[in-house]
Amino acid sequence: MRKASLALLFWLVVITGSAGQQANPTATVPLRTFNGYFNITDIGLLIGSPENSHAAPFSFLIINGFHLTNQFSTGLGLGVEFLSGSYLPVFLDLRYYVRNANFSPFFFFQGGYSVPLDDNYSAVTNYQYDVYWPYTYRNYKAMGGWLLNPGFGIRNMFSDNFGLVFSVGYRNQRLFYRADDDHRLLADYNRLVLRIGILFR
Amino acid sequence: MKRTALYIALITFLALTACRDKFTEIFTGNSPIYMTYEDLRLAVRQTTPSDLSNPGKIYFKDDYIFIVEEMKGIHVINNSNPSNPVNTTFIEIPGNVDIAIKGNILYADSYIDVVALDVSDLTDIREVSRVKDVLPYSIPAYDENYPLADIDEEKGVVTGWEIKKVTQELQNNYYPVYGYEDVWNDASTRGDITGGISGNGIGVGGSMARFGITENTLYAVDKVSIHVFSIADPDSLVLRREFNVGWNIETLFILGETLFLGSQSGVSIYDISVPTSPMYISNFWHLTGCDPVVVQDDLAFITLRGGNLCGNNVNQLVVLSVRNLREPVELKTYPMEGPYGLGIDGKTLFVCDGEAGLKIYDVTDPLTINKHRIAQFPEILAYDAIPIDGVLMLIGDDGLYQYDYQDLTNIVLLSIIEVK
Repeated sequence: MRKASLALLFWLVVITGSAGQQANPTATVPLRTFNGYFNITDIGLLIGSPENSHAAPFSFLIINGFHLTNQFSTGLGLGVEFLSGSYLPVFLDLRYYVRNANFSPFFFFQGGYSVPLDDNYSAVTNYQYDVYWPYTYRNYKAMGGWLLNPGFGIRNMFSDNFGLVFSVGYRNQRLFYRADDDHRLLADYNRLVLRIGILFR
Repeated sequence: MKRTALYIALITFLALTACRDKFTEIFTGNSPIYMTYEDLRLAVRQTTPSDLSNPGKIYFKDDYIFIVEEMKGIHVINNSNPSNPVNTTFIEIPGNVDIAIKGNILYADSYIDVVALDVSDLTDIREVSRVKDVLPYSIPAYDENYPLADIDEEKGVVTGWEIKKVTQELQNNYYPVYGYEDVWNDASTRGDITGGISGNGIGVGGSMARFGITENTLYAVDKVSIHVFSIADPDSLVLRREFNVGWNIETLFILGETLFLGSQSGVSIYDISVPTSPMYISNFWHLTGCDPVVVQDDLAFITLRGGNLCGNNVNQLVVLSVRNLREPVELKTYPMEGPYGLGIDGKTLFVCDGEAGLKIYDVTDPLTINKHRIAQFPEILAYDAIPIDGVLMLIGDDGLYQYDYQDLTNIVLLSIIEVK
C-alpha cells in the first residue's frame, strides 16, 4: 500500500510539474476546445483505517463519456474493485472543469451500483453467548450496493488526444449481504480515494 | 508543490485514522428488556405466594423449603408437614439463581449483586445488606431459535427478551447465561442443621449450588472466580476477597474444612481451615461434562452428563476417594443414562438419572455400587433432590415432589406442588 501511495504521489508530481513548465500567465484561454468523446482509464486505492480488514483495496476504472460543453462532461464508468470481495462498479460520471485549458482543476461526482462478482461472503457474528464456541460463521450472499464518490482533481493534457488525470475523492460504499434466514448485513465503507489515470480523446 | 504534498499527506492521515468500516446486521432476534441499576436495588420485596412457574434450585432450612423461581425470586414453603406443604410467601429478587442461609439471614444473588435478607419474620422479610457489582454481568435464558441482540450494560441488567427486528453494529461479546446448566441441576447433601430460621444453623443446598457457607464465611462462585464474603455481622455482608479458580466452574460443595469446586473438566479441592483464605490443595481431572458433586466422609460422588452444553457425550457416575485430599483417586465409574443431580444420606445415594428416572443405591461398598441398586423409579423424573430424615424432596419440570423413603424399596409420595 505504501509503495502504491508513493507511486500515486510520484505521478502527481509529474502532472503538476509539467503543468508548471507550461504555465504562462499571459496565455489566452481557451487553449483548446474540449468536446466529443473521451476515455479515462485509471487505477487507484480506496484508503481507510489500518484497522479495517481491507485497508486499501485496489480499484481499476474505465470511464467513457463525452463533453456536453468545454467544461462539463458526462460518462459511464465500469471497473473492478476488491472490497471484501470482487465487485464491478457501474456508475454515472459527471465532471466540471474549472478552466477551459490543458491544465485544469476539476470537480467530479460518481454515483452508481457495485455488482458482486463473488457469490459468498463470510462474517463472524454472535449467535449464542454461553457455548464453547460462542460464534457462528454465517455465510452471506453478496448482493452488491450503492456507491457515491465526489471529489476533485487535476487534468493536464500533453497533446490534443492525451493527458493525465489525478484525483482525490471520498467514497461512500454500501454493500448488502443476505443470509439464508432473515439475517442481513450492511457494510459501509468510507474511504479516501486516490486515483491516477490517462485520458484519451 | 510543497503545499500540495502537505495537503495530500494531511488528507491521507485523516483517512487512515477516521475511515473505519462499519458493519451493520439486521435480523429478527432477542432484544433485551432492561431494568436500571437503580430499580434493581429497590426491587427486593415480599409478595403473596405465587405458583411455581420455572423452578430452579432448592434449599432446605429447618421446616422450610426455599425454591428459586429462576431469575425472579424465591418461593418459601412451610414444610413442617411434608404431606401438606404450604406455600407461604414469595420474595421477589430479580436475577436470583442461588441462595444460602445461615441463622435468620438468607443470602441470594441478584444479577451482579449479592443481597442479605432477614427472614426471621416470614411476614416481614427485608433486605439488610447488599454488596453491589460483585458478580459477573449475566443474562437470562433466551429463545435459542433467535440470535441475541447486543447488550448495553450501561442501561442496566437484562430481565427478559423481546423477539423483534434488530439493527445493530456487528460485534461480539460474551456473557454467561443463567438458565442452562443451572436449571437442570441441583441435588442434595446434608448440611449441619442446628437451628431454625431464627437460629444459628446453616441450611442445606444442592450438589449444584454455587453458594456455600461455613462458619462466618459465604462463598459464591461464578464461571471462573470465587467470591469470599464475611457474614460475621448478620446485618453487614462484606466482600473479603475474590480470585480466579479455573474455568467453567459449576458447583461448590463444602465438607468440614474442605471446599470442593466442580467444573466441567474436574474437581478442585481447597483447604478452608482459614475460611477467608481458601488454599488450593489438588485437582482431579475427568472427562468434560456437567458434574454435580457430593461428598460423604472420604468419598466423592460425581455425576457426569454429556451432550449439548456439557461437552462429551459421557454419562456416568464417578466415585472418587478423597481420603488423601492431595491426591484424589478415582475408584470406579458406572454408566448412567443422563444423570442430573444427586444426593446422599448416610450410605444411600439418590441419583436423578434423566429419562431413567430416580435410582437409589447402597454405597457401602463403592466398588460394587451397580450391584447394590436398591430401587429404580422410572416414573420419577427430576433434576434436584434433597434427602433429609426420610423425606426426599425432588424438583423437576413438573414441580416439587416429596417422598417418604424410610422404606427404600417402596418410597411413598407424600405431596406435590405443581408447576402452573
